[in-house]
Amino acid sequence: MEFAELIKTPRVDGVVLHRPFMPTVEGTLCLTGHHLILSSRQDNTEELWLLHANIDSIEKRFVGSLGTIIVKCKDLRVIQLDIPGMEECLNIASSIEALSTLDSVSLMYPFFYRPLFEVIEDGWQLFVPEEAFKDLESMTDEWRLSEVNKDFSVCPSYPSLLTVPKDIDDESLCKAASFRHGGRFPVLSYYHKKNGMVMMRAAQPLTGTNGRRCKEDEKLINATLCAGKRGYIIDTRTIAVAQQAKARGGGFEQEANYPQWRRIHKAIERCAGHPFQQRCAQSAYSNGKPRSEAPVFLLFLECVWQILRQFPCSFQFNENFLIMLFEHAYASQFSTFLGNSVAERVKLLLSQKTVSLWSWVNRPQELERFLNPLYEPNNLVIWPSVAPQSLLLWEGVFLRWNRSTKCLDEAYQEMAHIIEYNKELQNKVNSLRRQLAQLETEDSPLQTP
Amino acid sequence: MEHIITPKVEYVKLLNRYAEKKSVLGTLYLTATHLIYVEQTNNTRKETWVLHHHIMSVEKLPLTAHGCPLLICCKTFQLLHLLFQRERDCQDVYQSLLRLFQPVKEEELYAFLYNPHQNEEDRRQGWEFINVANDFSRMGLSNDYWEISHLNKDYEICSTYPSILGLPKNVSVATVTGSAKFRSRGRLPVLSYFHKDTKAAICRCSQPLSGLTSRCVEDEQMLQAISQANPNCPFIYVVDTRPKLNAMANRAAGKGYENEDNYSNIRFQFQGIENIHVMRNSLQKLLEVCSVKSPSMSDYLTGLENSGWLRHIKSVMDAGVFLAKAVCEERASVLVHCSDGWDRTAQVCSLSCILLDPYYRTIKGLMVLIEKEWISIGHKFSHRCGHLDTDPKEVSPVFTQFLECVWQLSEQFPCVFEFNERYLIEIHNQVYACQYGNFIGNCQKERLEMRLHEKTFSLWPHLLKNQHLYRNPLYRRSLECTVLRPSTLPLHFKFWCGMYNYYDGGMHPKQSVLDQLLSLTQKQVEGERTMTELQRVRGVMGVVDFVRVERYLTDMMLSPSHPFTAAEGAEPAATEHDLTSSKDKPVSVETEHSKEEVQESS
Repeated sequence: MEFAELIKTPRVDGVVLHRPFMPTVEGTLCLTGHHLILSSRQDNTEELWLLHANIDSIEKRFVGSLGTIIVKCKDLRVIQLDIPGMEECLNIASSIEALSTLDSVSLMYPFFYRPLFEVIEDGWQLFVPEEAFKDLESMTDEWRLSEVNKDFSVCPSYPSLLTVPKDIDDESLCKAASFRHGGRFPVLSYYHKKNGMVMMRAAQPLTGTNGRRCKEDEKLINATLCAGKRGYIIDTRTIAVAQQAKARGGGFEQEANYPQWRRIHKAIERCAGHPFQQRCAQSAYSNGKPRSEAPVFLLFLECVWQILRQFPCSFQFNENFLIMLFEHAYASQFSTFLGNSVAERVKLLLSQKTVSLWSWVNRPQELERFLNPLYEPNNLVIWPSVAPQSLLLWEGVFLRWNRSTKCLDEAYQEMAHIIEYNKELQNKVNSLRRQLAQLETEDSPLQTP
Repeated sequence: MEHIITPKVEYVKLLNRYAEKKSVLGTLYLTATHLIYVEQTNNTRKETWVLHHHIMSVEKLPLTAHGCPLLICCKTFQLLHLLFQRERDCQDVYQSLLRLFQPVKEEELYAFLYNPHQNEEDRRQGWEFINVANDFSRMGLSNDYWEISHLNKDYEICSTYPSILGLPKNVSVATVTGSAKFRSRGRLPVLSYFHKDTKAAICRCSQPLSGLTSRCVEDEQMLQAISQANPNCPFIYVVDTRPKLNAMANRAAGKGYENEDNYSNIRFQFQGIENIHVMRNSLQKLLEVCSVKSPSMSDYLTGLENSGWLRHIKSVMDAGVFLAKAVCEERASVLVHCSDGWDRTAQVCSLSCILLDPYYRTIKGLMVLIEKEWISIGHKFSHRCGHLDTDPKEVSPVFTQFLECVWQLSEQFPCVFEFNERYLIEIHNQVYACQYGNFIGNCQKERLEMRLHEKTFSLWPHLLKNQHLYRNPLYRRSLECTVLRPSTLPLHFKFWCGMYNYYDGGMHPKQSVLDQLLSLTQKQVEGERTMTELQRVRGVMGVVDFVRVERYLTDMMLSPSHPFTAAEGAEPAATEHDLTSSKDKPVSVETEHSKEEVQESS
């Protein structure tokens, strides 16, 4: 398919762009296969480059022959374009609609994007399961790296290499997989070095209404506990939802079958939006088009931000880093967040055909923006407060386009400056001391009586 | 002390709000000034000191199987939930506290006992340290438009106003006295702030006694004079900070608001800030939300919304912004009033001063502002704070709201205030503590009659001494010339956890950026000194006797306590930035002095 077919009007002059807290810009609007561009063609005004993929919904209004398009973006930005001429406006609107809802992944921008920077460190090689496993091996010999899912046949949505208890063979893994929804059998998620405790993850067991069980699954789960130890199975659904799942073949672990484990339900509403929604001027703009996704990743990023706020010295990255991840998760020139599984990504040949976000981020000039000047590494576990008073609205994301950040940016700069200045000062003092010490040794013989 | 029925009760439990299992047994002491709870576990001794004046209410809760509970709520938003083993002890403590926390006579307030070990000269200087007349001079008074008047020197024109007033130049005595008679409690229009750049002024007064039809020529002349004192604008704004409905109700009682037809060139405006009773109830609802044991997110958000607290904060801020805009953008003078002109008017005038003038955003400037717009001009601190056992309907968190507005501003403008959040909280605590004399009494005349300047000490020198605790490390003097233009969209108003949940340490960030930056600022001062000294030494190296230099160097490099810091401590610049002792000092009101006080009395 040619993008040209979708672009009914590629160019309109005399378009006025309105953005909150910025001066209006009058210029030429251009539509390309992946971008909406507005340029005044003057040096001093900022151009607008908006990825179609970033567009969540659009609204049209007409006053006489002047059309207005309100563009609501996935990064929660709202912009207004005044377009002279009703036909032009309608054409632009329908083109944007078509271009922002392309079905085929291979038509996405990452497949067309060519980086203008030199890739120093290939982001696709950043996370190597074998390397991660070496780290684990240095701490414990209870685990092994299994290739059972090498061709993604056991679990299509899992990666090819998985960490599992050493004593469980691949055959048992296959059986456990057949007992778990989507084949997502229990695998290692995190190993806590201090006490050897682990976190594992899995999909719901397929117990169904008649309480099916699976010896291999039970063995796999129990293999992670030493004799006499107990563990928790945390079901993130409410007990009612878990019960209902039985009727559809799903269910939950029967405690009789997993005697060393206690099951608890920590309900997380899957489709819930942002808990602060009531207090937020704007939220996601999904305009009725069916969305299979809840903002799960955004919720995770926000949780990290909440903890970062409570432990401002314990993270190497700053808020900008989290916001950057949020942006790129929704619309990006990079393909790190494209596709739904490793299998899909392999099939799309992402690592050959597209650029990884990490290739871009892991360059000194970009990293600098994302480093937290307050960071002081420490190995302690952090315990955030979950009192409602301790959880704030993530203004950096939700109010980002609704306020001027000039004063807050100045404060951040000032903070960074104080820290930087102190480091320099300490360096200067130390080097002066060295100089003096050297002078002292040079002069000593002369001074000796 | 005759009010203390029992000075010491053992085996009292202080219930921990979050982890009841962690509650341990301790001993409760009552002294003349404090309630002290001491937890002794193995090698650790934990003391909780509560000033009697900080107590807002004491309540005996129904008996439980575990003992007799006593709930103590403080004006500093601290909550103490005590459990006594014996009903008798609980009753005795309850009785004693009732008498101790709200004395009947002013002389029983802490400030009349408290002595921060200063001599009479220190005391006198302390009281002179902040001087409202100096602030008038700073604004450029007296000048072609405004002058300082002593007409009220015996408090005869207005008993609740200070002895010196800023009035339009050449306004006649007849106009002044006539206008005073036409205003509630004689609180005639006087200068609050003169903006040098625009020549526009902010003036304040109480409501006119206009009723439905009355008018007063002198009052009209007074407003005319204010208008004429501004060469840059042909009209003045008259801002009634009350909701229109309230103001109209007052007309029926012979009070009310200005009739635009009777005054030449005024533009009249309501601002809709609610009265002290609404504010008191709102705070109470807010505190209920804050003290819920483990609220769900929606309990909290609904409670916050239903309290209306942030809505009221916004209404005060909106009014302050209106004034500042009128002055700096329209170059128009503004006359502000509410009913008596000592609550909402004080909030709005002082807030607009902060928006307009960077001086009031400094540590000392805020002291001056509080002295000028609150203390001296008759905000009824004794009544509003409930220092004494008086009408509870007079109590209202008007001043707290002002401090919160300043905090909300500091969240929007992190680099423009010289002080940090702790300064605001400390001032708030001190207002209720009655440890110093500043916030005792309802007006200047009352304070004079109480001879506060002879019998008590001033808070300001104490705060200045500890100013290193209250500095904002991000403060940038270079930004100071700007007028603040805050956004008052609802999304900018946040719940002030640092104030209302101050004592719930677990809710606050576990790592403090403020502490981090304060300690860096301290290091910076030390580092800069060391460097200057090192450079000096390098300069003289080889010229002077080496043995001396060597000794110097050895001292400097080996000694853990920087000799330079110690040696130069007397320099004025050094004391200004002396942060060496700032660490680990408590921010709360209970300073080392309070403890000495108790030792003396026991």
